[in-house]
Amino acid sequence: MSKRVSLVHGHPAARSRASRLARTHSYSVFYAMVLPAFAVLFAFSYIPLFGIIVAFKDYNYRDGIWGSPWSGMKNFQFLFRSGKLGLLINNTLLYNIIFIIMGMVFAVLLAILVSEVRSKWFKKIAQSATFLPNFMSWVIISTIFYNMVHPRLGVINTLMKALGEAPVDVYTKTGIWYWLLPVLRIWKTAGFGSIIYFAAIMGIDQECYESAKLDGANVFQEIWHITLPMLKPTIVIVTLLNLGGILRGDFDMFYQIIGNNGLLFKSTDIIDTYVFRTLMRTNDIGMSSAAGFFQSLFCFVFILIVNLLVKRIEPDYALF
Amino acid sequence: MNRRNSLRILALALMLALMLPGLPAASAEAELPPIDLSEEVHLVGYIPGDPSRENDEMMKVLNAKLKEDINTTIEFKFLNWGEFFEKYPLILASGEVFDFAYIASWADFHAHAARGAFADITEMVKAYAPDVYRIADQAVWSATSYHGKVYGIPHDGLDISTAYGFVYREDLRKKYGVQELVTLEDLGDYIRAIKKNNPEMATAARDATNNNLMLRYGLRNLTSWAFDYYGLVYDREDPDARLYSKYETPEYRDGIQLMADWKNEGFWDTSVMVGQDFVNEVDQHPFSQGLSAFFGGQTGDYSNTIDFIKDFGLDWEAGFHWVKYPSGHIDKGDVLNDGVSISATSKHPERTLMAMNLILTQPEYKWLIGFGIPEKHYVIGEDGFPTLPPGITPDNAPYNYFMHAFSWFLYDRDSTFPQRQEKDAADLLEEEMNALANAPTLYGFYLDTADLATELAALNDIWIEYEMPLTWGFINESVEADIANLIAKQKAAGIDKVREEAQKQIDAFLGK
Repeated sequence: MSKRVSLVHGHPAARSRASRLARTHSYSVFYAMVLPAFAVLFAFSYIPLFGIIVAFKDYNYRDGIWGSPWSGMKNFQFLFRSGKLGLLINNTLLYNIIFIIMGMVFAVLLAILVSEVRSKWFKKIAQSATFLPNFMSWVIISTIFYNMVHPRLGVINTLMKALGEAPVDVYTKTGIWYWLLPVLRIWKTAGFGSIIYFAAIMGIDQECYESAKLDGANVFQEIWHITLPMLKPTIVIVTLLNLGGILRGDFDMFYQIIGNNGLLFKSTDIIDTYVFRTLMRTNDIGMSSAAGFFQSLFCFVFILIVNLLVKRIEPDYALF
Repeated sequence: MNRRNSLRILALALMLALMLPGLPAASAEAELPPIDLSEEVHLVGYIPGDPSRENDEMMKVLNAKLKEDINTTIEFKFLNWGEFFEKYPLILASGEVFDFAYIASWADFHAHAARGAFADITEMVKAYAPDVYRIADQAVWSATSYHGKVYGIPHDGLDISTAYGFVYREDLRKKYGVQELVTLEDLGDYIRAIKKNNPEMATAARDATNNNLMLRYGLRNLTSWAFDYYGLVYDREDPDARLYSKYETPEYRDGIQLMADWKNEGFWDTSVMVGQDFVNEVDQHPFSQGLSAFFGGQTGDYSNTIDFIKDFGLDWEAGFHWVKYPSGHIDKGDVLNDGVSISATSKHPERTLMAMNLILTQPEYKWLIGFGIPEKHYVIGEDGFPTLPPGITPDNAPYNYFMHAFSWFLYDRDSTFPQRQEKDAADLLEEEMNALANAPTLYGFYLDTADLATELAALNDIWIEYEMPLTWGFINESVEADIANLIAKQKAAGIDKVREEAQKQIDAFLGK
């Protein structure tokens, strides 16, 4: 990106102080526009960084964050002592990879489908319908879902019984959740996720399609040879941004749908739910900060590595 | 938590109340100087629950009195039950400036006190809340102490003891010819009869994590376990209180087997693990609508159900199934079921103590908090008992006496409020229970968990993942193998360290 900008504006290598000032001045409006976003970022992302020290403290209310005594790595012990860290990281990574990949696939698919639809009212309805679940909280979704799959009274099992089939009790089967949770997640987020791809598709030069049509390309060829390649930078950037949160589970979703149902933890326990469950009653702020810090550190290292790889392969697509 | 019945036995002393002048607090008998009341102070405090609809009206009257007596006004901030356990610790931890908070052992008072959430009132309470100090049983002060300092005002030590049990349909039991419910097996027969004759009724539905009544209260007639901290128990009459793991006992094994049999009979399904059916306060609703065969609770719930049946003219009869220890006793009510602490961030701890002294001990205040505004929220009935004004039913009462957390532990209840003349079955049952209540060896002992945080985090997880399903009879391999697995997981999590530390503290508590 930076290459392109410098081409457009054609700044020479002359880097005198005066020219830098002049440049700053000429961009002053843009700087002013960036300022609010930067302020928000600073207030909500940089200042809270100091809170990390709580992870290394034996926090008590009276002395507060600064005054509480240091406790070294003690707060991290519970993560490693549990013997579950492997399973937790495994589940968290696995679900997030499924969510990222499938989320991307369905969002792109949805965006392409909607963009190809010619009927305006159907386009509107389709977009609204896929968009709507995004505004529902997981609390509501979990209730709807529960009423569908209730082992005795649920819609699905009532139907199964009416058809003479054996009812399915999803709340005792661990394997099925590797399917159910992604389905729920995609149903909720694909519509919202497709917006950014839809916008990118709208930005594609229509002349490309027109010349392709002249060459006799059908719709599928157009999608395969024009739309998808043009979407590639967007897909890569969105995916990279998502990878930055690879070890952060969607707590709302997992906690609302699974709750404290120990029967399913083998396949549904992620770091976030584990931390919540273990520390819910002990109220140990130091230990929960330690867990959060561990996740952040993991995500940070992960995104650095991925970005490095991307840079090696396709430098233009790297985030930084 | 549901203390309706504790309050139901409160009775009239309005005349008495009117005759007694509101005693000013802060008698100068202690060494601390009498406080300067010239500055007006506004106090803010947190209590659990939801306010009554006309709580604000009551507060206006209360504040007018407080203003006159000690130049103070007070504000209660209510923490809804649904979010209480999340919000309460956050408020204490955040360093927010407020003056007082409701405390209880079940709301982790000792953990919060250990982290410095509350002000040290060891000396102040004698000077600024002298009536509280005088009336409260001296033994209860140890319950609100941590490392020798007092961090809270407990209830006065006259709390009511009730056993947990199950409210069930006595009329259906008789109709289907089931024997009287004495043991857990009898309850099983009752459920079986309901399942056969009223298959549409739910036979178990309860939030699995919080209220596993089936096992926690169901095995009482077989065992004398007390303490029960992640399975660590002692025999409640054992003077040495030696801890052992209940998971290693045959009684536990048999209990799990019974639950597994019941589960396999279809008494409940996995929805108990999801915990979305009838959670917490709404438990009673399906029962009241005839949709469930029983629900777990205390005598207060039994009493409510009796009232409910009467109010709506149903041809039902409610019963209460409860179990005693083999010795024939039940547990004395916890020392710290209720209480109030002054926040460490309070700017006016003295004034707060004075206000608490008035509210908890002075009849005018007690009646206001307990029953609301006279003539408006209650009238004195023919039996001399405060009742709702004509035309108001408990469902739409603008002031509900159990809604205000402070009404749960008003001091010296027995002498302020005469007993109701006409007693219903729940009242009689409560009297029976109180006569049976005795204190286990470690009454008033609370484990200091400061050095056990890592172990407890892991144990809490194991409790939810492995013990909860077991107690609902969800067996993975076999009862024995699953219990052995639970024990092994606990060992890996450091249960032995917890046991050693707990035993050390217990020995110190018992003066050994």
